[in-house]
Amino acid sequence: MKSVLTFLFLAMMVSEPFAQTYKDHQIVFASIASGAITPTKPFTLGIHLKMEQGWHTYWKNPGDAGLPLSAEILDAPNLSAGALRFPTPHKIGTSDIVTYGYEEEVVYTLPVRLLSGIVPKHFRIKLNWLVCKDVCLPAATTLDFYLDSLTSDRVKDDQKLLDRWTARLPQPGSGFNLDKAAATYTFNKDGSIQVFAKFFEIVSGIITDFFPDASDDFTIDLASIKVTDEGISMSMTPNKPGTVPTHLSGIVMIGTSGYEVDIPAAKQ
Amino acid sequence: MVMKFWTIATLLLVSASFIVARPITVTVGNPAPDFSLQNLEGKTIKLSDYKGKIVVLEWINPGCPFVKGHYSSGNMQSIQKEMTAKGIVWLTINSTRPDHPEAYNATKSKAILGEWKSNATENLMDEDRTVGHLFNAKTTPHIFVIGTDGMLRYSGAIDDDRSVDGGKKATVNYIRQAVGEIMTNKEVSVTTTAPYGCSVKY
Repeated sequence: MKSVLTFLFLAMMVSEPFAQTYKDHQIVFASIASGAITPTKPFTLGIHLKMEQGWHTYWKNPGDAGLPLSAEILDAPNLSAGALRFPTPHKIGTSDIVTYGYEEEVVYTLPVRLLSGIVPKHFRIKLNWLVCKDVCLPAATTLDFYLDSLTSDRVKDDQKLLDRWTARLPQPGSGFNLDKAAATYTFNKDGSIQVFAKFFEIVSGIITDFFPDASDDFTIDLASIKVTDEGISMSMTPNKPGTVPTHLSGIVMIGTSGYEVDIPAAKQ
Repeated sequence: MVMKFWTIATLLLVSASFIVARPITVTVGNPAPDFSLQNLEGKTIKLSDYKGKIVVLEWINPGCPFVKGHYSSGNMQSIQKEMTAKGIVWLTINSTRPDHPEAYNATKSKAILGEWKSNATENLMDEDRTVGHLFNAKTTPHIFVIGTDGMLRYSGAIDDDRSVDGGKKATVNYIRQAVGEIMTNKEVSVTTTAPYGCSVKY
């Protein structure tokens, strides 16, 4: 009897995935993945969204439309969540409206620091996201995380999932000499600014695309982004007239892999 | 010679087709082009009907959660009321293609906007999406502010709360800011922002 109760208690402690529904149909499952956790050390959580075919969700810069996922740890004042890490996305959408995101499945990784004491046995993670197909649907949920629910089988499976998606995070541009670059800008007649980024030490023709970071100072015309053998060009409009770009940041795409760059910019 | 002429003419036409591949759209600091659309009662409304007035254009799709957020919080109706009380014209434009699952025809639009107690001056249907493309409206909502001189003065987001929560955490409403500056004969300080919302369902 005692063992049955213990089993039931443990089963209740395992976090259930959240199902987002649309017209009585489950379209997204959200769950938390975790590798082994040492109670006195920092750890990484994975936020796993599995989407029905046709639905997509968004990168940290969603592009012309959409909304990125946000995550917040609750009920654990001794834990501090770092910046959510977004895997390399792909371009979604038409030529007029460009968005960046993920289809079918994505795992965002959340580094967690321990400010004091040990990792609590229970805490919660508040999530907000948006998925779109023909229509867009927001979702908000809070998932429970129980340290005691980490069985060895679960840890093994979750670690594989985390490893697979950690490998899809954008890599430093220095690995491909993409940090050896400079951007120049000129003024277009319509008030926008034309920016051209040149890479000095790359094999001609290997860059396939550029996904810029969102900017508080400029509205980038995403449909204008062009890749040439020499580099990348795009037009952007300053949000406040007179503002000029000092750098260009985002991920340079080489095939399906992304490389982070932050390129200094100066007037031509 | 004739052959050479046609070869050059063909090349020029091909080049021209590449040059005009992207639609020419209105940009901030330039005149807003006139347009003509039907309101929910079928009456034709022209932008030029409001010559000399400040006009706010709000791209709308009642099925979009960002739009629902601004109307369910009362944020949109509140700024509409504040603006129209100052004599400013507020036009909503729906450029959703009619066969889209989220399409609201004139009858459905009238019902939902009545339920939401919209304070817009006119609600316009752009079923052939011409005006949406002309202004390069990307999201719902996407806001454009036109000055008394007919020039486009602002294009972008309604505010800086990029969420579906209807502006609850906004620190600035760009419409209020731009209109306030136009009315006090100041230069608009923030002329462009990246709009946020659902994509316009062209």
